[in-house]
Amino acid sequence: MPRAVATVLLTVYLVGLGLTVVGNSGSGASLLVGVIKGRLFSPWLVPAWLDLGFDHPVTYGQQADADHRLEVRPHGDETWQAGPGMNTSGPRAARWQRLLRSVVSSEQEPGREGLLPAGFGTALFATCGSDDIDVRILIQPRPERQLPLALADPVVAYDARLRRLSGGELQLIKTEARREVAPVAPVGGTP
Amino acid sequence: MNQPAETPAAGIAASLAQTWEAFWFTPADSRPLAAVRFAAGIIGLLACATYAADLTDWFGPAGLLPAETVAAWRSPLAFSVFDACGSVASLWAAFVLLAVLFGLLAIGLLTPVVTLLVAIGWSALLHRGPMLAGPADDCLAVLLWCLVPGTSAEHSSCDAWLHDRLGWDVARPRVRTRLTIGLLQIHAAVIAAAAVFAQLKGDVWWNGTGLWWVTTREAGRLVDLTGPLLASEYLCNLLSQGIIAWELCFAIAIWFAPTQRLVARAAVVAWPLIGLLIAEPLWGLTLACFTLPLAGWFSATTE
Repeated sequence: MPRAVATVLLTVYLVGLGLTVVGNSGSGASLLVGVIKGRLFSPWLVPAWLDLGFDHPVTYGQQADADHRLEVRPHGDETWQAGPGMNTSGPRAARWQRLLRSVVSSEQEPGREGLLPAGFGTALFATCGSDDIDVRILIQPRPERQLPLALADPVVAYDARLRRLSGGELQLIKTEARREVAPVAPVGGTP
Repeated sequence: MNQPAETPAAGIAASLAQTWEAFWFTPADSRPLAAVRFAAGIIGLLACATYAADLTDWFGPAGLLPAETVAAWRSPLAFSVFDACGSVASLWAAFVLLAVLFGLLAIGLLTPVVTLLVAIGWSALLHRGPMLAGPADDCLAVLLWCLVPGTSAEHSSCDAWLHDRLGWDVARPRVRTRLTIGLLQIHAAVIAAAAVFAQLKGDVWWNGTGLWWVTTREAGRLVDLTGPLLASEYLCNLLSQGIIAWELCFAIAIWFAPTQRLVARAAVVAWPLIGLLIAEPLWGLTLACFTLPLAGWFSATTE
């Protein structure tokens, strides 16, 4: 009898494990798999931190997994200063990198835009000694594997102004990057 | 009376049932789990150390990651006891308690309770800041949960010493131990296979420049291989594609009796080395830990 119970529990868990791998990785997981996993397995796998896809690619060589850097300054100042955690190394630095990557990537995720930078508010106000600050995240593009190494300038991946209003509320004003646009065509045909 | 002839389907079913029974329910010696328990405790302490210096900066009352922000960010199904730590003192108390639990796990004191508590505590810490968690944290969580059903304190532990002094139950091969070893084996293979699939989605692992892109990431880097990789394209390709080949080989060879012990022993060296190369040392150590029971160094019952 105990073996039958163990067999049932193992089977249920192994099905859940399979679904977490298929459903969490972007490897062509179907919506159905995601729904089944979400309804039947996630409620008990998520709290135990077991709803994992294990899809750890290490790198895709993309800008998204290059080095990120947090910089802050009181609004109106010219000089940027390094944000907290930017002078760390090893696994500790890796955690700061994940945090900054999450800030940048969550801007593309509905419901999560601006959530983390707004949460940074209290801590960064104290860092800058001001209730009106600019925050930006830079990405350092990596050089191709060829000599001489061409080190490009950092790219601004996130830029926002964060301030505390008189009622204690936080206001986040995201700075959108200017894009090049085509010239307006004159009315009445080609010039 | 003649027995009805067995159909092919029934034969396959019987064979599957036999294989299932042998894989999960053959009583196994728990010596290998003592090694896993000790290693998991030490890795847990190291993982805690990567949080310690920034704990207040992240999770403190004036930290970068307020509990309400994280609660809005993570899955609504998740929760963390660390959310309730509203002061620096309570945050540190909870964190030190978790570190102490990892210490108790390593020495094997009150192990059945500690193993469960440390798995819950580690999951709670990860849920407090899911955006900080990486591959090593995921694998450590799985490793800790795998240890829960097993009897990892029957050997080389304070519990074993105490039981010996008190004349309590004697260590013996148990089904629970086999369950844990089976879970470790399955997860080791799944993690390696999932890593291969994830990596092969990107061109850089096909064209052999994967390790170059990892090395040029300075933050978190432990070994700077930029020079050697620049000097030799062959070395860059060999190491990048060697990592993929190893992961694939591991995920398959761990299932076959003739290769299992060999690949498990190689894994104890290979995973930490790969972890060092890709700047994920704790991930490498944790994966090595998964394969310890299959290496056959501690007993002969895993065959």
